Formats: sequence, C-alpha cells, structure tokens
Amino acid sequence: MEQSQNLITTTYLITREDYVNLSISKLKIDGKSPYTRRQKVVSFIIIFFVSLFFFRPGELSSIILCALIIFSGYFFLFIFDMYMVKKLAANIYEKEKNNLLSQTFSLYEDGVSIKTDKYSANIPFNMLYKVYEDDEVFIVCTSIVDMKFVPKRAIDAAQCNVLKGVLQKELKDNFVKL
Amino acid sequence: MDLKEKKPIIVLNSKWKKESYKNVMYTCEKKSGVLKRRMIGISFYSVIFAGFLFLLYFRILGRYEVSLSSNWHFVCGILFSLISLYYYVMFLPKLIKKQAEKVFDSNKILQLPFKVSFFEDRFLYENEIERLVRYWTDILFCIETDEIFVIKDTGNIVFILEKSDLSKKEIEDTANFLRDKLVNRYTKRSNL
Repeated sequence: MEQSQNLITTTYLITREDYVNLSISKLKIDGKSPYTRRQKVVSFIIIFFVSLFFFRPGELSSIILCALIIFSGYFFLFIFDMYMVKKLAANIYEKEKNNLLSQTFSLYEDGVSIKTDKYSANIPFNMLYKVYEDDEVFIVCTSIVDMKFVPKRAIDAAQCNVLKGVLQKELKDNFVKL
Repeated sequence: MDLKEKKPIIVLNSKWKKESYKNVMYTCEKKSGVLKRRMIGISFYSVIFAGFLFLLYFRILGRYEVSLSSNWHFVCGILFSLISLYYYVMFLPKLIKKQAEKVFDSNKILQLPFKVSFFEDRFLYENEIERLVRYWTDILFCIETDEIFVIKDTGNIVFILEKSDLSKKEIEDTANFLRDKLVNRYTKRSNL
C-alpha cells in the first residue's frame, strides 16, 4: 500500500482532551446501537416499577415521590451519563498517560496506515469495519470494538476535507457522521 | 520498529477460530471483566429474593389479607429479583458469547492467517495487514488448554494459538518456552 500515493500523514500524541473527546464519541456510537438503547429502556422500566412500590392512590406525597424517582432515573440514565463518561475518561487518562504512545496516521489512495512503537498496520479500505466522524475526531474501526482514532486538531482544515472526502467515497455507508 | 535484529526462537503459523475466540473472550470476562462481578450480583439478588419471599410468607401466615392486591409489593419484589437472577445466571453469559461472535464476524483482519515469532524479550504477531509487538513484561496471563494457547496482555489484547495448526514438537517447544518466560503467569489446564 505504501507504494500508492500518500495523501496525508500526521503524528500526534493523545492528550487528555483527545481522550475525553474519544470517550464522548464512543458514547455517541454506543447510543446508535440498539443494544445500548434497549438496555437503557429496560433499566428505565425497572425504575418505573420500583417507583410503584411507593405509590399510594390519592396521597400527594407518594405521587411526588414516585415522580421524583422516575425523573431521577431518567436523568441518570439519559443525561448524567455524559458527565460520568467525561469524568471517568479523565481519570483513566491520568492512570494510563505514561503508557500512551505517539501515533502516526497516513492516508493513502487505497487505505490507511497506523503506526506506533509497538504496532503498525496498513489497512485497505475494504478491511475497515466503519469510520465515524464527529466535531473533534475521526474514529477508524476495524471491528465493532477495535478503534483507532485521529484527532482533528492533528490535521489542518484542508487535510480534514481530503480525509473526509476520500473516506466518504471509499466507504460509502460505512462512513458515519455522528 | 526494529523487530528483526535477532533471529526468533520459535516461529508459528496459525489462524483464529470463532469458537475458540468466543470461549476465550468468555474466560477473559470471567477473569477480569463483567463476569468477575457476576457472583456478587447473583448473591445480592438471591438475598433480595429470599428476603421478599420470607416477608410474603410471614404476611400470609399473620392475620393480614391473603390477597394479591394487599401483597403486590412483595410479589413485584420477588419478580424483580427473579428477573435479575435470570439476567446474571442465564442472559449475561449468552450475551458475552454473542458479543464475541459479533466482534469476530465484524473484524476481517482477525480472520486472516497470522505468524507469531517468539524472541527472548518479546513476541511479534503479524499478518498481511498488522504487525504488533508485545514484551513478555506486558503479558497478564497465559493459559494452555488441550486445544489452544491463550496469551492476554495488559492492554486487553488476546492472542490465541490453535494447537491443531501446530506440530507436536511446536506445541511442546511453545509450552516450554512460555512456561519459562511467564513462570507464575502461565497456567495449564484441560479446558478454559
């Protein structure tokens, strides 16, 4: 692959912000999966039934308590998780930052290349599972769980457009904008 | 990445198999993932279940009404704990194996044949697309079973060597080499 024309090459080290952004993007990807949605909906139904334990017909205080439990469940399942993910990602980054290696990402006409001190891969487009793009990052997936990523801060606007254009053209439906 | 400055001690060729991958992922989850906490969940909901059953029994034994409408809290509690127990005992293991199957099917690179070269201080995994080096100090554990060798590293990456792809001598050499390198991180058992 490296004999084909190199379109972009960039080297970057993952920062705390990158790590947090990646975790948010992963959350968005998970949010698109029916499994996560189903899990959240089932949890919410359980919370709803648990709240019925406190329900006494005609008693205002019990109705308020039930509403409070249901609202809290909704808040923690569907709103608060974003905050938790950010906090957790920052904590993991602090623990792992000494093990993170700088990465070199290259885009070729027929695929992408990713290199670190311990890993190197020249992946043709047809071997990629999906590529996701959001405001901060491109996520290159080789399976539903294996992800490599390129922060947009590591490339300029023109390179970003080239990367997006090539990936869109080559991957078609497997290029997903989050 | 200068990986070929020395001659490897052992070179093996193998291929990932879906069944082994599923079983290995399940074992890894049992050792350090979500299934590790399964027993806590099972114990917790068993206690909740027993508690609600106990309360319902004494309510019925006492002079309270023996109708469902007056005891529905307890019935709901029993149902909830039963559903949770079903989740931990039956659903979660199946879910993990199903997820592993999905990962395997979605990863085309994993389905390529690969070569593993063992060096004194590290090993090199390579296929048509990827090259990956891991030092022996990066390895969390290695399990040898009747069918496979499993090597798991600290970064959650798992390597599986199918014994059916290796000769008798290769199996023996690999077992001795890994035992020598990993010492107490190496385990031999008949199955996962």
